Amino acid sequence: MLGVFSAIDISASGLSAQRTRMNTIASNLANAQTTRTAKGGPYQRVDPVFEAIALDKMHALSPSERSVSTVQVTQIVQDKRPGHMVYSPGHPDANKDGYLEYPNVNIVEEMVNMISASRAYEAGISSVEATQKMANSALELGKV
Amino acid sequence: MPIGPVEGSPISLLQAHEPFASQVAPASEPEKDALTSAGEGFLGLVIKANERSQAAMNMSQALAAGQSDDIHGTMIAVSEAAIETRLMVNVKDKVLDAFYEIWRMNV
Amino acid sequence: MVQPCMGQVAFAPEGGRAPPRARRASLPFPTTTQKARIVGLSALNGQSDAGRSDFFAGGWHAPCSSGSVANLFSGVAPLSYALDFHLERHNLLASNLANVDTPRYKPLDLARVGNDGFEQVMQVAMARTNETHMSTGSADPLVGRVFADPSAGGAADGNFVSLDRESGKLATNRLRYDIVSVLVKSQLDGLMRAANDRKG
Repeated sequence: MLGVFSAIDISASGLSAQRTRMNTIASNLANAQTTRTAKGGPYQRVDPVFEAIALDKMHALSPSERSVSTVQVTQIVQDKRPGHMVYSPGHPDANKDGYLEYPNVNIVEEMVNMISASRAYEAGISSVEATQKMANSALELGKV
Repeated sequence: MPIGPVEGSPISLLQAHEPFASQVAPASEPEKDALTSAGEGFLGLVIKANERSQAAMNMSQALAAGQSDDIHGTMIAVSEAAIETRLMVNVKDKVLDAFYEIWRMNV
Repeated sequence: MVQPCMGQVAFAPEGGRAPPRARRASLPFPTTTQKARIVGLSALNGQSDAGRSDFFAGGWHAPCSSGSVANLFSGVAPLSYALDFHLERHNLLASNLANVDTPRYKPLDLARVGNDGFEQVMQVAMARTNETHMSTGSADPLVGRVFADPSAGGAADGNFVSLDRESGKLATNRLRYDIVSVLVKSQLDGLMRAANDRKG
């Protein structure tokens, strides 16, 4: 049934997904200048793919139970956009024309994503706190 | 005037002197006096209180064992069971007081 | 003085059928859902639970209704129902918040189902057209109607969740839950004081 524990599970899945997103942003920011990777070529920024997963279709009875979903990062995809080229003929990773391809990481975009992920994370925290307080006020009913 | 033997059976004489003789006649179902009906009503109350507290106990066991997630429902059931039990106990006191008061009446 | 039900106590006879739902006409709203049923009331000393299958946490619906204790908690029943509603809505709103970045996700909300419309909604939910179909399980009465709420506007990836709006809804819903909880507590306290009859 949809109760306090399911609400915490849902919020916790959101927290976990946002944390994964923060990790990808941190990876992008850290590798913003990485021109050489193990596969050759510059670093390509990664994005998490969020997906809404239904709670438990087998035992879902009410429409609400069928509608709520947790969130999960099902895959982390690489951004295939080309990075910007800078003319640096002396650089060891430059191509034959002397152009060096930098990663397709846009610092401003990553910062915006980071703030968004941080806000979503805080919203998840306050959601968990709200759930806890609701459970506490429900427990008050039992004190005869 | 000479006093002769009394006519009629003792029961009929008694009935003639009873103020509500017609209502003393036994019915096909035994009529309940106030004490018996109070007792039966109280028995119903006891049984209901017991059922409610049994169900509340089951709910709280399920909640404790993790089979149920219903916090407020269980809490409300437990509180209601406690209230009804307390009510039953106080009604019991009053019923017993009434019973003893009647018991001690000098008939 | 509590008026007794002459000769009839408040459960169905052993092996008999539970009183039909129509008997609950005196209460237009359902009491707390059959969570007690999940608990397995047949565990009560191995007795048949035919007479107990209508027991809900909010009230015992006795066959005899003449001033019996069944009506003692009838004031608590709608409040308990409101608690169910707000808790379920909280789950939906938490789901919205968790999916704030999920593509193509539309936020959900729960609308109250009115008292007069309730029985109809329940009939629709419960109806089985064919006996071989699976039933809807524990016959939970519908607490509310789920609907999608895309009014906040959509992002490029099709996500319609506004973080601020959902957080606001969550806060107000939580406040309502607390309010109803306090109301229930005060009612139960009053009943307990009445049951104690000035002795505690």
